Amino acid sequence: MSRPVSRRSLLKGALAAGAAGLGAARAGAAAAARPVGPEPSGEVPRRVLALYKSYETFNAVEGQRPKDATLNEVHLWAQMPLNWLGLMVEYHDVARGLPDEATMARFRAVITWYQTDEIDDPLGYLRWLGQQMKAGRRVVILGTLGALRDRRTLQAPNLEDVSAALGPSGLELRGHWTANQRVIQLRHKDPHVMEFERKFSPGLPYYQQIVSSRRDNRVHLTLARRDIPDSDSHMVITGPWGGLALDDYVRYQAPAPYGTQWWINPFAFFEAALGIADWPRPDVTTLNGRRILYSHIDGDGMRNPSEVRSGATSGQIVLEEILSRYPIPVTVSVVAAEVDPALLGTPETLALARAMLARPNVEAGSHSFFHPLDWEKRTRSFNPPGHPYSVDTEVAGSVRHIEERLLPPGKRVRIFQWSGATNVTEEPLRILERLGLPNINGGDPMFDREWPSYAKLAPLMRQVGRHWQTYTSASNENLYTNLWTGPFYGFRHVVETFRNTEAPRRVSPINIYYHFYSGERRASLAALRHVHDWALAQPVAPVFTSEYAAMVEGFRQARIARTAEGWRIRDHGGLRTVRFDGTAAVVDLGRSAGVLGWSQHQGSLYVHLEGPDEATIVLAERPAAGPYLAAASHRVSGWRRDGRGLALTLHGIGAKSVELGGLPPRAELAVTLADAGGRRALTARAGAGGGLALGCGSADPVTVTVAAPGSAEPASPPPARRPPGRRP
Amino acid sequence: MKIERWKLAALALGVLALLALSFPSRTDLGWGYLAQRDYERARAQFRRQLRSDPSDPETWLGLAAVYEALGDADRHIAALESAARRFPQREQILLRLADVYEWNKDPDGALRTLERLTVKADAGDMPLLQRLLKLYGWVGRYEEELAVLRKLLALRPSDPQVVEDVVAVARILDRQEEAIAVVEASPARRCRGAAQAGRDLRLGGAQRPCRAALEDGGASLAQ
Repeated sequence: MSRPVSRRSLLKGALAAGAAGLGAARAGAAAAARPVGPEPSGEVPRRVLALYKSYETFNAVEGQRPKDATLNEVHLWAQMPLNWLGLMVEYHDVARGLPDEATMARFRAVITWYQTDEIDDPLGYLRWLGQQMKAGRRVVILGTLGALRDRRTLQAPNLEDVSAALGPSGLELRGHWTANQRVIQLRHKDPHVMEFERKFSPGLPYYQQIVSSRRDNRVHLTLARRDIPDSDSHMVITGPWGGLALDDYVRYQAPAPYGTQWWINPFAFFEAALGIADWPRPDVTTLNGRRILYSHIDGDGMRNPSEVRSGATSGQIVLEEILSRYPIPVTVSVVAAEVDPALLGTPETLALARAMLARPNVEAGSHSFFHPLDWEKRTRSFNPPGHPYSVDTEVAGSVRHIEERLLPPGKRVRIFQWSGATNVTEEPLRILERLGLPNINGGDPMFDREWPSYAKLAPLMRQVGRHWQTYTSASNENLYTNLWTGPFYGFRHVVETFRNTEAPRRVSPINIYYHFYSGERRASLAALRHVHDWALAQPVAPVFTSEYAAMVEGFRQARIARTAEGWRIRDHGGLRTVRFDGTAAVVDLGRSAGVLGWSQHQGSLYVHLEGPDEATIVLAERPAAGPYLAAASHRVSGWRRDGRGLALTLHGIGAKSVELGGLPPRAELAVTLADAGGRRALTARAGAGGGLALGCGSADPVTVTVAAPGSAEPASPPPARRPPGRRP
Repeated sequence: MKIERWKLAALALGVLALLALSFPSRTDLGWGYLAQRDYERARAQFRRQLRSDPSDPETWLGLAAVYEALGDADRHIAALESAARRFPQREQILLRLADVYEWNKDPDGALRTLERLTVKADAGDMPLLQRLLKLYGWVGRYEEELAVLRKLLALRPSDPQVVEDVVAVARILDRQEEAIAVVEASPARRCRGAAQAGRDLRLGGAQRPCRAALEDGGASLAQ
């Protein structure tokens, strides 16, 4: 069971704290830095370095804690929109010194979101920011400038020196601070950027005078003072150097326990500040044009008696009512000790786990051995005598136990699902790296009437030393049922988050994430059915959770280069979609490579990549002649297209469908569907726009060929391959 | 011994009446089935009872509990709404309904329900006022939030948190004079209150302790 510790609950107002600090000498490199070899020509760095001050503190649930790579404003709120814009965010503590130029070469931008203005050597820090701008890197400042007082001497630098240090931005700090609302007036607000999720209140809380002198800066919010002349202040600005959004105009913070809402539109603001409007964005929400659906079950409560059927356990109910009824891939994890008859399990739980994990639509996950509750404090749910706490047992031991005792031949554990508070440390991540296993859980995202903000959504991942924890794309039923105290139907409301993360922009996959204890009650089972029925009524691309994790890893590693004609994508691993926003362009397949096709959705162009190999994308105003993949419900391999038609093979669990574009309008086409059961031939007619939608059955795999009647079929695809990114 | 017939008849009637009284009502049966998690029978009993006599709030609450257990959120709320309309004097029903709206991620519904309760402005109303405060703030209904805060201030004039909240919301509404008046009435908390309001509520900027001092027209960090 997940503890009620959300990322946001850890931030309920930050307080300044005096703490021993280090000099601001150029020293430490950013953590988690991957060694960077020679950059291929045209590569654009897509990493953003987020700076935080470990001597600022958070009021966390367990008390005040120093800020770290997780407990800071950028991770909590800004990383999600930055990830959506295709950028990786890495974190660095300024108390360890400022990164040198060699380290900074990997980064597109620096972002800060401080709560305090104390720092070691403020002018040195500000000049370092100015140097980043001169080097062509963007600098984004949210909240406070963070460097208006020396941390040790408390001396404030001269404002002219501050402005000079930030010279490349064209910003001039003039002071004139006030919180006197009688004199603050609103002069201008850019509706495209300001008041994104909440209107300003009548009383504007704060003013300081910052004046933009660069003509190519764009001012999104201008305030003035009634009591002094020439007082226009540019509180929110973007320009070719980056952007600035000052405190009180970035986001609204409601009193505890409620949340936060964006004043600025973070998508528009970051896109402008980082100068990435036309960049391709690695995208983990979509596969072949369809919104990704993945589902995973944490093993808790499998043994619990269920009220749904007398004598049945929750696990049996989930097996009968969900796993057996809904033809989607599901990642099922167990807590090893709960299943093992020698510990907490029984022969029945052992048999049940084996039956579930043997299903073809189930991949195996581990939810630990004894269910750690707090990975930092090393506490756990079950403490049987003779089994002292061991991280290796929880991680490697549980995986080994499941593979040796529960899985049928040929199946392996594919993913590790963090238990408890999901606050993992480096040690278990190191073990998973050794095992070659991805991981997931944590994040607790929601976006609904109670939490009406993108700020409550989670980013894709969390940096833990030199490792990464993948967050889920939705919260589980524990959080929707008041920590399993009721109403037990609460999980039905996850659909509201699914809707809000699809439109007006698709920011997350659909992730049906729950525990076995949802099989305990009629109400929770009804909620599960409601959620599954809704999800399966959407045009989705169902994948296993490990496949989603591979996409996130592909997102992390992907490299992008600008070419003379377009873009080159490589090292994207399991990721299969690249998105361009705000464009009506299409893909010129004739000049592109490694691309299956494309689709347009909500003003964005989704490009479907063929595989893990390098892809070249060239955009055009109009599509070139010839068929392309507009959408597919599953992974595609064996893509062939030539003058006679095309062929492809679909892989995965569930009913398959494919949509093609670029066919001769209204042409009569010969279609064959081939699977292990045989071969079916049928005739279909393309639409007036050259599109064709085909239902392809549920076999795995199924090969589709489409040809104009009378012409020979296109070359058959090669034998179906195992989808990439999967352990053998 | 001769017993008069009318006495026999009266005795028989009395026994029958006792039997009738000891026999459980449909509402009791409904709750019994609910406890046994026999939700279909419980629902049938409650519905039959409501058709014949809808005057017992326990029957409505029972029906709502059945729908909750069955996972029917819409009927769960509808049953509680019916109960709240029929028994407006029953505060507990309204509070329960407000809980259910909140659990169903509907803060507006919770507010509509709580607004039907009468605030008596005594200490017993503190939880209700605090709840209204939280909801008004989040949905951005600042006028109502300030009205609630005034009531809280009347109840707890020396509570620094209430003073700070009044200051913060008055400032949101651009009612500087009211904010100043409240701060001036609490001189010991003058600067701290304003700064605290700024830090904890809507002003952010933890490191500008006197920036939000309301009477200060131009505090400057550089100075």
